[in-house]
Amino acid sequence: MTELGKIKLVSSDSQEFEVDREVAAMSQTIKNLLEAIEDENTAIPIENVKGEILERVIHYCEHHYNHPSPKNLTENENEYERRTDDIEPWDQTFCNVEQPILFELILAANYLDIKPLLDVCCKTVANLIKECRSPEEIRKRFKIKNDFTKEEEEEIRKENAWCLDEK
Amino acid sequence: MLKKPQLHADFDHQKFEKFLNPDKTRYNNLDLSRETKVEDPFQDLPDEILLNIFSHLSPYHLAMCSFVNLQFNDISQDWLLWKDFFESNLNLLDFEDLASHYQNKYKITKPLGFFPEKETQNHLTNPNYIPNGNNNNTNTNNNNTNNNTNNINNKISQVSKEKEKEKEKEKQLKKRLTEEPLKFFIEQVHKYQNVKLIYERSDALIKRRTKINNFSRKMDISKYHI
Repeated sequence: MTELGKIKLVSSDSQEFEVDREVAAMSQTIKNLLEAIEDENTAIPIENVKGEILERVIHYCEHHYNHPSPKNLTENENEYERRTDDIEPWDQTFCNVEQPILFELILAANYLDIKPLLDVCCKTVANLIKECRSPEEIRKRFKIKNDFTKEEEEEIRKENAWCLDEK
Repeated sequence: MLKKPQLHADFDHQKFEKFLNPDKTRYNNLDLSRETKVEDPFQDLPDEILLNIFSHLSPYHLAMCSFVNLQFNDISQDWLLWKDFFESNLNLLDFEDLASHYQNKYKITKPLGFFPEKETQNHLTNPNYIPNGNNNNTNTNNNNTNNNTNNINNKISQVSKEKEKEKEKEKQLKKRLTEEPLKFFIEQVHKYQNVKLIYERSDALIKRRTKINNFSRKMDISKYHI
């Protein structure tokens, strides 16, 4: 039996987490599920997310449930905004994790449909890209394979030398 | 009675298997899905997430990303990423020189939405235009006036042809812009000698853009819509 107002989440590696209903409802996916499920005591399986990642996600949701950010998410949606330096300090430390974990967090946030978490993680990745000074550096940092053909590569080198060499 | 052969209590199955087939056991112990994720984390991401990440990048970094690999190249050309930049930033004063350069280059008289509108060329200010009624050659005979009206008709048709051509060019430019915004941007940048300066400017513009309120935006527009 779960406590009143609490629900049970089960990760893909069958770890169980007890979470406040309201906190879990920050995930649109879980919210929709909860509305569909009548029995409050059923554990909700989160099949695509590992325990390690789910724990972090719950941690994020709990923090932001208890400390709602002063900015409204709906503000200035039309404004042209490409700032990445406006991440809250708490979120910064939250996202300061190893790369594989960061990307798994993105996938989890996408699956669970938690928009603020997804945005904050995407911003962090954008910042990582911004730190690179050449395409080669981006490849090295994320271990991306260069899959251009030699001709394509040559064309890029000719036309875009300004971007390929370091600033 | 034959006893079933029993293995020693300390017998290590894993070690034995490793001994028999070292590679196989190695791979059994590894989480393969994890390993591939470490290789290229972007490969597993759906396009819309990559778009989300790229939407936080400036044109400079978008251009850089397009040279990383095919996946990045593909996503970085998405019109959604460039729409805002072309539609809002080129209206700002800093891009006036850039925009007017393109206006001259492509002979654009009408704004494309992102070009600042300059005073459109009026037929009154056009030196090639010969007004219909007020003719200087009032003393000429009928033949001449006939010729003149023919000339005028020719010129009028020429002007309308030119206008059509301009419209066609406009259309083509707009089409190109929506189809290959990245190439367009790079082209623009190439035409200027100080490439890096332009990029830095565009980057700075974006940062400033968030601070510019609607008022100054209106001011900019009113400046061009005379």
